[in-house]
Amino acid sequence: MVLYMMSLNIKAKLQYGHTLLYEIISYLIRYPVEFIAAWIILYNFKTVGGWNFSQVLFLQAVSFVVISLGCAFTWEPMVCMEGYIVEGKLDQFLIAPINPFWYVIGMNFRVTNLVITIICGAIAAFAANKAGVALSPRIIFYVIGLIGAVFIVAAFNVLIGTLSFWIYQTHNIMSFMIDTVGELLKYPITIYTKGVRFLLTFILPISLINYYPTSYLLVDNKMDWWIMIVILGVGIGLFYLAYRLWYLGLKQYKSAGG
Amino acid sequence: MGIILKKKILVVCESENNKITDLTCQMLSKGWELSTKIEGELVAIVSDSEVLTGSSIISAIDYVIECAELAHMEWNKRSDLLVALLTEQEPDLVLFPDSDKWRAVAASTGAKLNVGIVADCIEIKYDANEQQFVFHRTAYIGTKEAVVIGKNTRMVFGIIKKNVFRMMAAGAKSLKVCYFSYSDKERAKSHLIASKERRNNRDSCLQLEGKKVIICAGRGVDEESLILLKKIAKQMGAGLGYSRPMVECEIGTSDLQIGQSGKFVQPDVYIAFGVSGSIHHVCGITNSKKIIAVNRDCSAPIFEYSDVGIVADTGDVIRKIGKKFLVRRDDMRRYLYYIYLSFKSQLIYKANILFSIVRAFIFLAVQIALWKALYMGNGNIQVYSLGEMLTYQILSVIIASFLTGMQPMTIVQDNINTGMIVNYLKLPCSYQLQVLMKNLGGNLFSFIFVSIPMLVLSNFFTRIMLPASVAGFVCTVFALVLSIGVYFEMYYMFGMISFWFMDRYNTVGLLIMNVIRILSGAIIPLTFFPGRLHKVVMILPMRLGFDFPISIYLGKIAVPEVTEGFILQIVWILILWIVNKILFHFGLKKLILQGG
Repeated sequence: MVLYMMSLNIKAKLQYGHTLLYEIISYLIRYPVEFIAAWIILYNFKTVGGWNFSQVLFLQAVSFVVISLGCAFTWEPMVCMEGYIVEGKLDQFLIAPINPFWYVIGMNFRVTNLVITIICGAIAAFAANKAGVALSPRIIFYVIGLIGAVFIVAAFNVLIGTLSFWIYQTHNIMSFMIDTVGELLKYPITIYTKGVRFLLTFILPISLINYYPTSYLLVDNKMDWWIMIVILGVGIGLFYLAYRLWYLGLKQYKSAGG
Repeated sequence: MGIILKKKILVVCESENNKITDLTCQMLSKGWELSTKIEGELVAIVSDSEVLTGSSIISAIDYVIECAELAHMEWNKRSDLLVALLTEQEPDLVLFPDSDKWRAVAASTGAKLNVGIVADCIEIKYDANEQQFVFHRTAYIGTKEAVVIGKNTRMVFGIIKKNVFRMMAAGAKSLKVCYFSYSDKERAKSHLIASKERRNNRDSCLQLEGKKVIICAGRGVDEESLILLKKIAKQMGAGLGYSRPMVECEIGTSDLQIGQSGKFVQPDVYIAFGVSGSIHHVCGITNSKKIIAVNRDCSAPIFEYSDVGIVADTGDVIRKIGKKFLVRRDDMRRYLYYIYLSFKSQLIYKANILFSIVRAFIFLAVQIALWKALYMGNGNIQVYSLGEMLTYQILSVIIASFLTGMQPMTIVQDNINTGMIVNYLKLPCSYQLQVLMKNLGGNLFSFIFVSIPMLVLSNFFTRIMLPASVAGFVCTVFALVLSIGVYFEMYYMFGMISFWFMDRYNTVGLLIMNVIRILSGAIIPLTFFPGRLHKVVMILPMRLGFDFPISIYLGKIAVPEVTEGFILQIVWILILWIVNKILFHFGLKKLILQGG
């Protein structure tokens, strides 16, 4: 059902080719700048936190893939939630005979992010090739880790989006959150002090999104496969928590309409 | 009046600052002329003969009656004094100066003595055949000249307006002074019951005398508009008069009343707001060269006399004139007001301040961690020491906080897309200037609420290095001020892209923001850029906002380069300004507006 609505969404978007193109371009142009910055820095310094340019490029490209994929599902719905609640439009999702959470998500699936995912994925593949990734079972576990990462990003969006049941202007907090995450993920967390590293791993598990999977694949041969499974677990767990909280918010939601 | 018997002409003198007034001089001149004709005496009544010394008319006066009581006597008792004096003197003609008070005194004296009065004299002749004085006075709004003679009266009073008679010089002579004393306590017959002080206009700018333009406020002008009208009049250098109803309800002061019972005016332009134009008012203004009337009632009689008539709500017209007129001169204040408004509007979004600070803080934290890690890996970087690099990053974040708000771009885009730009084009200052002022407000705001907190917070990471020299610091500030100009022109230019390209997703904005971040040296100092890229960024203007001022601060560039940078900044501002003018010109032609 959700997939069906997503496909509808894609079809609807594709009807406005020009607009879609502009939208994609507008999202794409953020990334080259980051790559160029990393390139200039590593042109001078060779390594950062022990990583070379192709590894950093891979790290950044993968983080864009994960973030855009996670946001494709949950960003737009959670931003729209605010409008739905203020205008009382949420009712339309509640009276439908399907799970309202998935209904909201399916209705607002963002196609553009898929294109970004593909392009950044290609860049990541290019970088991985340069960094010398061999085909091995590690890739399978790596993908499992990435799926967990996507869930983490989606969970963050839902968690903050749920706040709109109680406060206004949550989209500001959301863009702030996603920018911050993007900022912190630009370079391997080895550049930070121990305290910050601990914070980013266990308290605010942002480093699980790209540092640990990438490290597992490219840098740290000693890292065990189960860490990837843990990331998946954390991702699903967080997402489930966000999902329950969303329902908690919904319970106290009263329609504004008469 | 009958036959001249006493051959005596009396002039009541008024004095000001211990000198007789011009009007008195004119009256004495006329009196002299007449007294020679009747071969009689010219007598002046003064409060103190000293006031006559020095005036050129003295020798014409046969004698002076000094009456010290006149100096301080209440006005209502003066007629008693004059009755006593005139019965003693018995002149044929008494000339009074035309002032409200003397006019009243003349009237009551005349009534007590039962003699004739002629007010508003414009000419007095002596008819030798009939042996009587012939007065000419204006009548019927100055359209007729009345000739008046006194019948069955012992003497006659003339009230003389200012500047009607010429002043003549008779030469100096010692005065013959008589004294007349009068004790009001014994002889006064009249008593003061109540006195009401007349309110005079205190605002000397709005005086009616000598004004080429006179504005008159009638009953149709409400209080609010009147305040505005006063400002307008002041700015025009015009006089502001009132119609009688306005004076009667004590809105206007009586010295500014225009009309028959007030003042007669003859300005080049007379503008009547909300004046109905009764004959009593119109008679005071008919000599004006052009009369403009504004009245809501199209059947108001004022329109019969006006050269230009505007049938509209008086308040509306005044407000519109005020808008056009008043603002033009306080341009500077208005620009400051723009800055203030934009500053204030941002203050509403308090949460945004917090977000900006936290965002900048996290960005700075990442940058500092990054560069520390980079320097730890490679200790052999010569260009910047670690301390310098961290200072560079802190300064960059501080500058970015107020310089790259992209405000001008957003404002222009928004104004074009919503069509609001039309409203701003109507204002009497250029659109670019308006945006600049708003932008400056934003700059100032971000500087105070984001840049300064960031400077304090940066201590959390590392201590910022002090500038290389005092001169360097001054130059840095100067460079930053100029860079606001450069960045404004840049953003303004990018904003105008909206004339040609509806940018719903702000693609251009994001592109520019990101490109500027890297090309300006905000993230990485430009010296780290590899060969060809370095050459490109050195040509572009973006570096003038970040790399250039910070390099001055750190003392990385020499004086010639600093000078060159300043010149470049100014040149870029000029180039972009001209480009913007041209783009704006063509852009307006492309502007499509929605809505009717």
